[in-house]
Amino acid sequence: MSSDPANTAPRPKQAILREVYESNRRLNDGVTGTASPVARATPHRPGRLRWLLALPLVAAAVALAAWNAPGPPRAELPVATARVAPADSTPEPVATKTETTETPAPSATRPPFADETKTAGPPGGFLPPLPNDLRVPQALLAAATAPRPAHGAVPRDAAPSDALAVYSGDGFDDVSLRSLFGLGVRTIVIDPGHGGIDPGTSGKLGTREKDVTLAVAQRLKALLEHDRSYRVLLTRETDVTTSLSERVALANDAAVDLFVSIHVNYLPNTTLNVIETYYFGAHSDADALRLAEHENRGSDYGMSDFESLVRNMRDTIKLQESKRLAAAIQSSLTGNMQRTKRELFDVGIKTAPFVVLLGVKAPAVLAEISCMCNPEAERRLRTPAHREEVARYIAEGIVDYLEANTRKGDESNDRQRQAKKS
Amino acid sequence: MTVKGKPKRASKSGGSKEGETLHVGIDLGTSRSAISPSKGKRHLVDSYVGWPRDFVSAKVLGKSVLFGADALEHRLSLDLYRPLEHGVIKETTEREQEAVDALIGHLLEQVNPDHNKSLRAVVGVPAQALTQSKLAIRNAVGESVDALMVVSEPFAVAYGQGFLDNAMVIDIGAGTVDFCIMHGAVPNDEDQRTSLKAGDHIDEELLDALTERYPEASINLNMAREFKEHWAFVGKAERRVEVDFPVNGRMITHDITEELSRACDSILPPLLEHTAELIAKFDPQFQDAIRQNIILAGGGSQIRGLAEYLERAMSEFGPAKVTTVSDPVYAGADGALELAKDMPPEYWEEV
Repeated sequence: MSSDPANTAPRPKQAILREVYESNRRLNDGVTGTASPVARATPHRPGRLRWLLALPLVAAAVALAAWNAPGPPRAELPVATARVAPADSTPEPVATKTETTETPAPSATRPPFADETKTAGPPGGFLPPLPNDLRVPQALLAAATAPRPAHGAVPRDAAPSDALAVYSGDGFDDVSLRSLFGLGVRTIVIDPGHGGIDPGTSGKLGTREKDVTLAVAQRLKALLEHDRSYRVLLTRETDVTTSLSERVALANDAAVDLFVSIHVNYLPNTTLNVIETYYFGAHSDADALRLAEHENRGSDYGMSDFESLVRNMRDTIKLQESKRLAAAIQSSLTGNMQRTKRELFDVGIKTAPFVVLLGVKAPAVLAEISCMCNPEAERRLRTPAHREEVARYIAEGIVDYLEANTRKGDESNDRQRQAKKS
Repeated sequence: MTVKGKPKRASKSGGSKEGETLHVGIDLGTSRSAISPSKGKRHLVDSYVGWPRDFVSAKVLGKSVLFGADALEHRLSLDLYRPLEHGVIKETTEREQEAVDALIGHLLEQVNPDHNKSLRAVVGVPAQALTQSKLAIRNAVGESVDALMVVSEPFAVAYGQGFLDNAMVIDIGAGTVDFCIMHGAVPNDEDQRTSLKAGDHIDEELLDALTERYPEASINLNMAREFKEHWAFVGKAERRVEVDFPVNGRMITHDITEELSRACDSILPPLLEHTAELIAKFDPQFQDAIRQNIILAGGGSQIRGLAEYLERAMSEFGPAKVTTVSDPVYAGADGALELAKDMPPEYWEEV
């Protein structure tokens, strides 16, 4: 446009007015799907925009709650049970949309992976794609998809990751699938939260979350690249507006192996300084849901995108590894920082329906590295030294996670060799 | 939701008689909001809304809601909100949403006190506002007017000032600095930029610098803003800047020339960078013409020496001329009003 001489020719005022009119029509159409005008739009409802943004969260929470809820074994879980959406809050319930289209039901409504392959898959075993389109070698999957003895059936309240756990005769080994399948980490994407027109949270001194997250992410990138020779990418290199879907797309396009999103918390009505690390799941508590609502602001996913993303949550390898990664980062952050900052609270790892974690096709975590509501924490966050310190501890957590997986992989190989011998 | 301060309009469109249409241009600013009507006086209000904290403050203040400077003056008795951030609606809490609605209602009340006219409004938003932000503003204003259009702020300035071709407009506000190249058409995303290092950033930098230099002093962001608005400058100071603020309870005069200079200088790198980058990306045959037609608007354009600095800096790339509009604070609202008035009626009827 800028370099096209045809577009630089002056236009009459009427043409400019026409363009203004057209752009406003497009703005309306983008929302309503029709050319319904602003003036005839439905009366403004307070918080309608927030409600729309919260809709995917509600859907995710319902789906995941159903997934983890006690009840009949998941293989027998009636589809309609998991599709119930709150009637008073959803004019067009998710269930209706899902039922009228012929798209597969969300993963929460599906039986576990092994049962699915047994009942719905073609002979020889149907394998749904794993993250990054990795397909599990047939031999390795034989154990997981073989008929199981009754006592070894997946418990109804088992975590989704159990669906791909390896049966060793005495039950299911807690073996990392990543290490079992030899999936190496090459690309790490660091996601500095917020940015551009979205400053995130702010402290009383005016410190903005987006500045802190970018500074920490840049240091973290440098540390990882220096020590481990990984390919490390940032979802934003500068102070620019980047939507959640753009972050997810960047990570997926880069064939990401690990995704770490960095944020700073702000707890209302308190000055507590807590550190917490999240992976995707139903919200652990009200605070987690509040935080997810906050961090999901600016999500431009549509409902159809969201349903597709929820379906991808059958990627059990992602959940399992996300949890391990979250635990490693949380342990490193709090273990190191509590030595000098006594006021810090370690609230551990939690789950919450963060959109950015859902979309990435790899283990993904979101670290809330501090709380801006604590004046001392905010003051520290303004200093380069503390930002460097936080980056170093996150890097240590990532490295710990990778090394632990390597050890587990070796142990697993040893066990398999011994099993073969016996 | 009950919104205090929102005008109760008799009807949205049907009740208005023929010939009673009022066009308005609105510039919803992070720091100040302006409204220009096609008939009557223009109004400017600080973008603050406050509700009395309790029944005592309600009784003392005698009002259910306060706006602008009035709200700021009585802030200790109020739950005070500044509902716009970086030129768009914060919308983080229900109360902030109410504050936006109340502020818009208050602005419209100033130009249409009897609520008997049909309102057609054009509202300016930051150049690179997200669609969501535009929609939030559209929803908030849309309830109180009969028809509404949303345009980029610097484009509204350009339209109002008649700089439609081969010009660059830089609208320096509190929350954003918006850049836009005009080439005889409505600018698209490639022709526009938004920087967040704007007036508020200067306030924060100044407060940081003063707090660091005078750790015992009592200074707040509001005071830093006042210092900036009175004395801000770029380049060589015409005179020393001396202000009073308390230290350990005693009012003392301080020379803040250096701190103010550093704070004001902090917005210059992105200002220059975006200006140079946008022009450099434009058609090479038109770059000279645009460089010699750079227009500054918005409250921040009143910083002393800013136009001269930018002109000098841009001269490194070739001949440059930077001018400031005559009425920078109202330039956005006036431009939006011009757009509203020129818009053919059939467009309004359809939009």
